Amino acid sequence: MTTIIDPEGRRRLFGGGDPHDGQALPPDAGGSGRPARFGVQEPNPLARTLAAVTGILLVPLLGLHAGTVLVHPELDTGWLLARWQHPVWLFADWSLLVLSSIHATAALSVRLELFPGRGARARGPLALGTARSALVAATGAGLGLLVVLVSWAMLQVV
Amino acid sequence: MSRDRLSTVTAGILAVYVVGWMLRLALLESGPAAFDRTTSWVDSPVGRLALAGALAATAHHLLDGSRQVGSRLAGPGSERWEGLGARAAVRVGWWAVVVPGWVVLARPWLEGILR
Repeated sequence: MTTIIDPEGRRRLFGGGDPHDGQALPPDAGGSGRPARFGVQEPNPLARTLAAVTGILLVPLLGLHAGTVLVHPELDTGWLLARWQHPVWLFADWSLLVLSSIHATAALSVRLELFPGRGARARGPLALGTARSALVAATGAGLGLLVVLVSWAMLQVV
Repeated sequence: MSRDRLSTVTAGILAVYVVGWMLRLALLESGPAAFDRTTSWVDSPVGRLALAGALAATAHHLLDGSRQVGSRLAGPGSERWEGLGARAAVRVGWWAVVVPGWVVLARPWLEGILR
């Protein structure tokens, strides 16, 4: 099923019935902060959901990290190692890195309006779509590599 | 600066902070001394200023993200609530999180100046 925005800003679905078909879209229908445009497929729903779920999970973890930085801005090795003796703190600090990497990659793909299949070609030249895909893939790979390095370093010192 | 651009800027600052934090943690593999060398930079006035900026970006990004998720759950016709949420996000973030956070971060620096 494909979602297309018609000239009046209404949602039109092809390939299946939906109760929302024909309804007016909110200004930020794509989640990119920009108004929905005619003929533009909605951004990748998987990336949007992933960004939203990881974002919600990151709220307490990031709040905890910000609070830690406020209370103890220096964060020297001795203090960190003492904290990581407790597995809950170790898992919380590690989860922050993993979830923020996933969140950043998913949010970037939504922000660049990467669409699967036909959408990418409908948006513009294929080369532009390929460049966007490459940027998201490079970001994901870079952050993934960094997470592996940090996980290894954390395991070495704990 | 438009709301969209501000969101991009704060998300970018936060991404840079998280990558910086990961790079610092990756230094742990080289030994505690390598990590602790970065600590002296973080404890400097410039480092604390950067931390304060990252704190402001974190507060804005968390509240802006909550606003986006909230407006999406509310569905079409939620523009008024979205506008109210955006203003509340800025005000609450600024007065409840960012300003006290800056005071805490700048405390040693301010103490040095006042002494």
